[in-house]
Amino acid sequence: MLKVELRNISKSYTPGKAVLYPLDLTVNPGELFFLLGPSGCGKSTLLRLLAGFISPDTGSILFDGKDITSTAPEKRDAGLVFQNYALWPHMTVFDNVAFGLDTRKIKGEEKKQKVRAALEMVDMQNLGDRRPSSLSGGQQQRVALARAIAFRPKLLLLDEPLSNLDAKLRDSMRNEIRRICKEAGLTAIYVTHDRKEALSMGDRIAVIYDGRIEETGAPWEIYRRPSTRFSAEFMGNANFIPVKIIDVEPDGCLVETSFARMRCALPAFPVAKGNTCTAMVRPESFNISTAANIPNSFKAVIKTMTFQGETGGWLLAADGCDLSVLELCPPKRETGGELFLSVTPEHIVLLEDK
Amino acid sequence: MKIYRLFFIIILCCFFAVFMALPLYTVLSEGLNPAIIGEALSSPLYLGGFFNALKISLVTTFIVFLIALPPALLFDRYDFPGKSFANMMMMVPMVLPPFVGALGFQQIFGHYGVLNTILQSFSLSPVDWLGGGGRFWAVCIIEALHLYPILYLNLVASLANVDPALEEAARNLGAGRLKRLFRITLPLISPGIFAGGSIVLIWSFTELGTPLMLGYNNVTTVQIFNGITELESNPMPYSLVVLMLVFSAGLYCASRFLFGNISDAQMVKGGTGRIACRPRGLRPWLVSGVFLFITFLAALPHIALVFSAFALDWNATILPSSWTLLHFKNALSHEIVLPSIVNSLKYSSIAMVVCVALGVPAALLLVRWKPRGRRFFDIMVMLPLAVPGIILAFGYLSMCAKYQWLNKWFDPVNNPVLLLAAAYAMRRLPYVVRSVSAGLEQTPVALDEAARNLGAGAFTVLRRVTLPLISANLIIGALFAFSFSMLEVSDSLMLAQKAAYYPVTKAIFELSQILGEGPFIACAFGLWAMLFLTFTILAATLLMGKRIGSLFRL
Repeated sequence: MLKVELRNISKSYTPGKAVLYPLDLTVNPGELFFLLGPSGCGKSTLLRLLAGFISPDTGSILFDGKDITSTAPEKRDAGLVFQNYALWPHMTVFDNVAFGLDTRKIKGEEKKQKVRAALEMVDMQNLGDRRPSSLSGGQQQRVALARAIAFRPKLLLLDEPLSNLDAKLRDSMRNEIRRICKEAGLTAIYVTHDRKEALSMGDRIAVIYDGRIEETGAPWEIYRRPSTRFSAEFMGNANFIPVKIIDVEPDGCLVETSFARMRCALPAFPVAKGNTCTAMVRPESFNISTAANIPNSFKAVIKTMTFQGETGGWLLAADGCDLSVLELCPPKRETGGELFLSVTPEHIVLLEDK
Repeated sequence: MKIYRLFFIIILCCFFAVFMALPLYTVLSEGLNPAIIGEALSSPLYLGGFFNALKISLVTTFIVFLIALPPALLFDRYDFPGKSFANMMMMVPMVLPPFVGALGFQQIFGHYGVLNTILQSFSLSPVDWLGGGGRFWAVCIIEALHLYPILYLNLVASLANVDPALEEAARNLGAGRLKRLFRITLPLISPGIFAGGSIVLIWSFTELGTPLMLGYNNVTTVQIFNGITELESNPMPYSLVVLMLVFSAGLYCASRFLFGNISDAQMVKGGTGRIACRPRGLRPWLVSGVFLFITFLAALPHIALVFSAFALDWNATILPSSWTLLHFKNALSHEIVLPSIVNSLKYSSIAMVVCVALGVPAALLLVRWKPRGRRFFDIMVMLPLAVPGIILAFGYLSMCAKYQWLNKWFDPVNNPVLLLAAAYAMRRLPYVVRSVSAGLEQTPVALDEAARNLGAGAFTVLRRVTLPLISANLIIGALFAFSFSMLEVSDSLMLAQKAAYYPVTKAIFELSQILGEGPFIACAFGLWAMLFLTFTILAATLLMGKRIGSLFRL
């Protein structure tokens, strides 16, 4: 299993307009690592740098400690699954998958066996004779994956491989790709702008914005305890509440909002009494009750409700501050009615104002 | 830069240095003499020849525009019976060099030709169609009937790129049919008009065969042709070539820098394509009739040529009075015919191989490698379209005369094989580059990258992925290179000086000059050439569809 390190990597296509600002990144052996960010943030550029199709302006790329920055793409042993699959229309599925083995001079029965194994892994063993044009989008995606793993690469790169599939197929393919990566023991780097994909599949995620890595961490960590406002917003809906630090204690701090005083966990950045910052609370972190008999609770008035089937999205007003709240199995409540909201200190994340 | 890329760039530059830069330099160094140019411009003979060439090109281009625009618009907008066939038939004129068409044209418009016979049958006096100014118009019409497909193809391609919503918006704002045409459609397709129009303009400006065949001698190209025998003593042809070169180069530059950026036209391409509508009643048949009429007009010289090839006697009658296969027998038994076919096959095959060997890497260089100075290479490989055949052929002759050491390989008198093959290859290289580039542009680069990602080296990617994917474009480019080389006129007339080295076109010209049955034998031989090119163009049209227009762009 391969360890990937990027050291001080930067890239610009036109002078003065950086696509990637100098960044460092480490992907651990066997990890399914996600590069997550909006369109144009530089994540695909980062992947193409890893694949070797473009060269960085500065910095170096290391595979298992070996500098491969100037190694040709064909010598990197990094299988790439393209966004549009890039299956060769003039070759059969079998020939597409066998290509990487041909270039490595693997012939005869060994080649056939490896192609069969790769096709079996993606459940396409019966379609080896077909041309890519006769396959559905999902099948093409599987062939592209089989082609990238057939020659047993050290590293698997995936460039938004599910973006052309419908929602249902995308869901099933997420589990498939994770299963295949783990079964094959591959280090994989996966580019996407779909946070659900990253959260459900990734071992770790790097959130990229405007050519910079905002933060890296495990999905739970990035979703629950983001370190920047962009990460918090990009990973899902959130309430951002201006707060003032009232007291700092070893196990947490006390903050004041426009509607209540609340306890919260200590942030990663240094805080002192009197500082102002922003508190982030996810809509589903609030608990709704009818009595104020628990800590960190306060009163709110119902403004609107959006019924979403299994969940209900409430918009509540708490002393001038609008809060978005998500509730499972929502009961019927009247607009203008009063209720109490509470939130545990661990679910209040303090973000530094920039 | 990778070694093999550098190696290819050096080879390409060497080819252009020897077969483009050196001949042009020779011509310019000899002809760029203010005194002689001044003499040419003050001589009524040469000035008249230059203005005649200019007049021919302008009138021809205007006629071409009038012929090509209506069917292009009809093809874009309407569905009508036999649409695909009609489109294919629009290529008919390209199956024959216009100078061979001139042979058939004389049978129709000659003093004892078909038209005068028809007039006389109505008791009207015959008209000397090819006398006086008639010869000028004959040259223009023959060239226009040969060249209109170039503009037509460009117009069809450009119209297909125009978002119909842009015209609908004008209609929504109250613009009528003509206003929409002049204010919206024509400005939007102006790059296509200029791209095709400038090729037609340069082509007709420098056409040698048609005026030569029709005896319209007071035109610069014929004056240059007649002057090649006295190159060492008379510098005037050099200056005439310089004048033509300056005009053609000016047009080329204007085309590239003012309107030639085809991507501008593509910027207006919309997400929704136009759906051709089927008019009601008899209108679809009328549209088909327009195509049929144009095809008939364009085919007239060819029809006359076919009749001439089979005619034992065709004088003062509408159709030949008796028929024979004798001309075909005579053509095949004539001493210059069979060797000329072998020669043409030899020259054209070498030219095709050179075109493919240089054209594929050149297209890769422009579309995939994109080195610094790509624009320079783009201009360089397209330059043969702007430098007319007659100028290049003249340049080769003067180059070989000036640098005697070149005669070891490229002797125009004693062994012009390599010179003719190189001349053909140089002239047809842009078609191969354009054709292959079109294929590369339509093939996602990710397909190449996928192969590289899986460990394939540059040559493996080329052999196993790129070439199979662009094979249709490569075949078309090679077909064009081969078949247009087979019927190349200017280079052949000027560079093949001994009968043993005559290619097909020179043989047809020489046969047509023989009194008596010479023109009939030439027609029989021309018919063979016509069938050959028909097959090529039909195959290319079927393979490439609408995209065939992209070959005829500067």
